Amino acid sequence: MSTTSNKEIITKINTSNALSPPSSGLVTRLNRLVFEPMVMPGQYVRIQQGKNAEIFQLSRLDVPEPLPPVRINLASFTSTLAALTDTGSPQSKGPTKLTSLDMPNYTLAQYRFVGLDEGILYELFQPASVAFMENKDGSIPFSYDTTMEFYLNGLWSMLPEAYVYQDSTTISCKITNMDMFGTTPYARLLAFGFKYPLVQIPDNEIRFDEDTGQVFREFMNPRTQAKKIQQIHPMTVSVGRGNRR
Amino acid sequence: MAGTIQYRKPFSFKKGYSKLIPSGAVSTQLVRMPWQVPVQKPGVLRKVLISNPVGLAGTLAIWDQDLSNTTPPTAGSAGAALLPLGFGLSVLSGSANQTTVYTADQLPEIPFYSGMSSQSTQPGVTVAFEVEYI
Repeated sequence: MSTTSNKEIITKINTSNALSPPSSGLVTRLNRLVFEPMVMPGQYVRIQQGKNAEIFQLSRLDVPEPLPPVRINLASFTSTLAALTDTGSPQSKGPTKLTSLDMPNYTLAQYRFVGLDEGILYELFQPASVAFMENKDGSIPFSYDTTMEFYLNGLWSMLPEAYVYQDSTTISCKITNMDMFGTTPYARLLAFGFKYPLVQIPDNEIRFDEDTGQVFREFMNPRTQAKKIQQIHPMTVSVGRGNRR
Repeated sequence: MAGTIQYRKPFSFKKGYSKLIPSGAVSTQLVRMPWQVPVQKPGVLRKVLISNPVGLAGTLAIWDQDLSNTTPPTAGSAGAALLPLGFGLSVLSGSANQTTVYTADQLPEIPFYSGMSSQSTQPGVTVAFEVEYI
């Protein structure tokens, strides 16, 4: 492997423009048909929020942990979701912060979502004011019919996916009733996935080759005390667009 | 299999409702269709149960109209229903009502764009039904 003599081409990582930010909805090799952890022990992940990014490693001594389905009701008996109006200005609720999906320190969660109640439109935001999945017209809602179709057919790769890092990138959700005939006390969202306990790699250990786009980690060999550089392949995940726009 | 629907239409969902039709002469809104943005889904009847407490047979007329908004177009009327469903005599002796059931394979796939409005020739009829929003 090359050594620090390559310094002239390996500059310190520049997160503002060196690695282009991912789009809001990730459709990458992460979205596999079978839902499986995207980072395994020893592998690296680059967590990006807006222009800011940091690189982490899932320790070789740790494992990804499954997160069983969490059900979140975004309406209630005391605060029902109003019926869809005639006016074209739907009486939505939210965005409500989904704090029950937050994680402990240095932990990343990967969620996929299913709309559990028929006739509810769900829209995700991360952070609260920025639509998470959108096209030119704006936020793309999902619902029971558009998610359960994929879930029941085993096409889990087509389910809406989002990442949460610690409790600093909380997802918010707005709901709208699709029924013009009645209110509802239930608008439940189901989220399941994996969590990854991570170790942060200090910025001064990361090197980036601007010519090739390769990422390296410089570290001290604990036995020989010699400096070594190792190429790493961090998987980029987005935890919200932050101040990118 | 008779009497059941094996497959939903892709990207559709079903909801169940129940409505009492108090008078034979007044139109009753069974359900409004979500014709407004951002939903705009027509509905199809997939199952209807008509419970008749009166000792006479009758007909339930269903047509396409939102009784509380004139914006969406209408189709059919009380006199010229899109879907006339007959229901049977109730049992005069004893307390059991006569319930007539129409299942998905008996109901034509008529889309309702505005709403399901109805009139019954007998008052006091309760209609429980399933709508698939397609």
